[in-house]
Amino acid sequence: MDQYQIPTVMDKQLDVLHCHADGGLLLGASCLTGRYWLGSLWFYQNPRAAPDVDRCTAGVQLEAGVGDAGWVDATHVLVGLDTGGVALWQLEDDYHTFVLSQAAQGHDHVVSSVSVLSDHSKAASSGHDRCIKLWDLPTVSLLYSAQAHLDTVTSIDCHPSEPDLFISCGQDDRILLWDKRKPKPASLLNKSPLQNTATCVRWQPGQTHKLALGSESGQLAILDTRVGVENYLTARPHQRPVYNMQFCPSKPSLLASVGEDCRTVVTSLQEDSLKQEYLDITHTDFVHGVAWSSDSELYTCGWDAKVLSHDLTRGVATSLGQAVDGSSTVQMNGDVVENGVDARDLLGAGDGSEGKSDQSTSSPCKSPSYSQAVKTSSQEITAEG
Amino acid sequence: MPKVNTRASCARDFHCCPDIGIALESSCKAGYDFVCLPMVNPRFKREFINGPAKNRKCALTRSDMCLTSQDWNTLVVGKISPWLHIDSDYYHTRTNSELAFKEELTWAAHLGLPAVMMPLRSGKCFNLARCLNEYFVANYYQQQYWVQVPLLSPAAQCDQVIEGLDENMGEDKSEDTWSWWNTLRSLCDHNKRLCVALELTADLPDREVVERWMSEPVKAILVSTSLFLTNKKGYPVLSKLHQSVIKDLFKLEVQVIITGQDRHPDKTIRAYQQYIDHLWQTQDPLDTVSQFAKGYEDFLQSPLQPLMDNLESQTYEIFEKDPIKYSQYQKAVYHALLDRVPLEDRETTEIVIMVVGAGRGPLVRASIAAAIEAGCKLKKVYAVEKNPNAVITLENMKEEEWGSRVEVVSCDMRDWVAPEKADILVSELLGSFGDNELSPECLDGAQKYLKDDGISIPEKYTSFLAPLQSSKLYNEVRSSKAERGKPPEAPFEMPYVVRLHNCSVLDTPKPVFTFTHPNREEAIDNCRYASLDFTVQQDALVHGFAGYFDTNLYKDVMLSIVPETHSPGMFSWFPILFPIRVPITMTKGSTISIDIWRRCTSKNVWYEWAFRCGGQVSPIHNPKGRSYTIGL
Repeated sequence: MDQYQIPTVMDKQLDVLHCHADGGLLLGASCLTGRYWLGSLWFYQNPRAAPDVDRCTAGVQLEAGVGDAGWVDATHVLVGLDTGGVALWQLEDDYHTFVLSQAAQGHDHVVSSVSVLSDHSKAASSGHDRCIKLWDLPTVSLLYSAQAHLDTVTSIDCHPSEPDLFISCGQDDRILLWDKRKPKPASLLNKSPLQNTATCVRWQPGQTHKLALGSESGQLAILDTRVGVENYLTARPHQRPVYNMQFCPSKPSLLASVGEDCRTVVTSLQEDSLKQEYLDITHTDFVHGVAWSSDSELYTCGWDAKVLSHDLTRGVATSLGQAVDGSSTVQMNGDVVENGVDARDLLGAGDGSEGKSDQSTSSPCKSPSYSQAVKTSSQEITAEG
Repeated sequence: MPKVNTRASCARDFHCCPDIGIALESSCKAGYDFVCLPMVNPRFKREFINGPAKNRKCALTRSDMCLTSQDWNTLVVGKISPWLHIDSDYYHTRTNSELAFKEELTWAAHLGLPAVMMPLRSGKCFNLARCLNEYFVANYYQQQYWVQVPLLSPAAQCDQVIEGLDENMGEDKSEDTWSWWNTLRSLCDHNKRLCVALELTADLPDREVVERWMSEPVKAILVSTSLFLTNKKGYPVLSKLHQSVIKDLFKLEVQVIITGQDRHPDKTIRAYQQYIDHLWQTQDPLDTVSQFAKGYEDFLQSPLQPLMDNLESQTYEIFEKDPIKYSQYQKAVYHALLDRVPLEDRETTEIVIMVVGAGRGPLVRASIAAAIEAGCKLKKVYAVEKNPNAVITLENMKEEEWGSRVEVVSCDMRDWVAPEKADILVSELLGSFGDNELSPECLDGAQKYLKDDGISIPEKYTSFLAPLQSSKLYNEVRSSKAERGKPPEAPFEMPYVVRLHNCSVLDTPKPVFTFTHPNREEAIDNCRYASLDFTVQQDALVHGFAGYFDTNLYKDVMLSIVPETHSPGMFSWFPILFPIRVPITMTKGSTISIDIWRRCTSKNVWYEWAFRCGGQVSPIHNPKGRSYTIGL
């Protein structure tokens, strides 16, 4: 089947990154310039191989760029496309082939984010068409659609444990808290701790009412959705819009955030403050994908075509796989960054391809804590992605 | 004249376009005339200020060589990236958006796209206006900018799903999207390249709100596939209300842009285009006046000065074709004759009719026909005409048709020494504003040949004014140059005869000046002054005043070009336009006053006018007739 052949090249802009329960890595890539604006979906059983096309486990070309995607279960991926389409892809053949399972026309504009409900039975999507939509899974049939934002909806997130709750934010400066049990399901969230428009929303796992907001000015805010509960925490670790945030599934007090300032930041939520635990500036373009593999390791990907592994205990970022160009530049740029300080000068740039192939063969990522994180999240896979 | 376009012009909108070749080909095959495409991938954000991403080494978008330049020039309307927030309060967002906007406009100009489409999200569009102005000044390429404005604001379109938001906000709090547009185009000083692409919304605003858009430079209407219903046979159709909006806008020759996903996949995307074309084909046929006026819409003409200039054969020919005017004249003469000559005297009494300003003779013919119809004897019909060229026609008519009962007089009616007095004085000296072709002065001069109990046809005429909104006409006036020796504001200080089309009349016309004939006053004074108040029912921008007239030819035999009482099918007069130098902003329910004078000297006649609204007072336009007079 022609359409399910593995593409020969990786698309330039890496937008989506999610860890699989068994240690693999899902990668979504788009080509946003050039003649064709297509996208592709990739699976790497060995995350260290990403984004090397030759070492992928499965890969498939998509009809358009992929703005967001997420695991539904171990073998199904929900994809939101730039055409507005929402599609469910299945990994068959022992993870070696992506097969289209269901597709819906979805939104009337670009899909900005998708989020799968905690019980895997539904998913939510948001789009540039000002709509949020709910989808039945695995049929991908439309359950609900509402236009409550006045502009592009930039981010949507389903609650990690409450199947009726989700949250959305948009360029209209509205943050809406949705509770499907109510006759009027949406309510406006007081966004006052945030100085500017929210660009990203994420529930904190293990907490019923807490969530994180990222803003266009790079600010983070942790707040309580209950009316009258005023305690909140803010910090501004980014210089540009926060594009994505993920709480560490195994240690929900850790929040990783990435943004258009090309930074990767890990913040720990403490009793009365936010503490920056890690900062990396290795990426040379917007960082869009972020995923925790354990509470000490983080993956990020971005428009510089790189997938980075961040070792939080060592405070080191390593570039994975083989880059799009296949040139040595990316490997040369597989710089090591220590505790937020560019360690290039200290350690030299010699940590190139050899080091990387070492890592990929020795697979230190299969650390106990990682598999544990994955196991616990097998029911709550959405919590991390 | 037949309709210029035999079919609707229809476009397919793409918010994302993975393959431009396929997008173009599939749209053309489905019957669409052009496409709307993002010029840059809608998700491709850029950083211009600082940080690593500023140094991105990557093409902005696909190459211009993907299409031929002819295709770019004719088939593609470019769309600005949706993430741009040029009026953001946040510095980085605003600055990055500005620079990205500039980058995309520059690219659009390079491609030679006919138009660039950009959304208008709120009335906060000051910085957008500044950026656009920068481009209007810097770039001479005559690209149009289509500003996408929804008929209802997104807030009014929102589903009622948010707790605590007032249910009734649709009525009061929702913003008027026209005022957003008005802000933008005012800041852009009515630039001609700034046009509107209206977005049809599921719910529609009040009728007047839709009608107000008829006065704007609307180039396109975006129709989402989500608005279509499905008929019994499974085809997409629009509701009656949506149909009527589109049909109204068809009068402005707008193009329709079909946006959104294909919701009738079994009928294919072609079905939407076919339906729009069906709407185009089933438009009401043009009425006589519109047919006659085809091609003259919003075209400014200087009012005729038949006293100073001799009309040409072609002009006479056009006016003689009017199917209504002369039959009304004939009717008026007929009733005047019946009243003047009692039944018992029909055989004995002989009537003298004088046609002053006979032209090529249509009123002579109408008078003779009326006399025959009434069974009255005509002693003489004098055809007085000052244009020697028209006299040649009259002499021929007399020779071939009328015979000795008609006397052709080649003379100005004011100077003529008549051999006898007339029972009925017939004239057609009225202009679009009634008295503006100096009918009062002429008839005052001619009435000395009218018997004391004689009848003037017309016996009375009245001019009317109403406030008008039309950026098109404002721009037309503004782009005309003052003649040598006239002040620079001269184009704004003269009235224009114009077939009003891309405009909206904001209040009911009110009577201004009335003249009756014969005028038996001892000291005739044809100077006039009127002060009129008008109230607008919605926010508006007044660009001038539309002028009309009606006349009682004889008793209740009328001619009218006032919209409310317009003589059906009569095309001899288009309305007149009195412009304003600076458009006047009006809020719903507010009042605008016009003071207008008709001034006369022995040599000429002119109008002066001024406006008052709220705190705004305009200067008096055309003081002492410095820019425009009508010569006697």
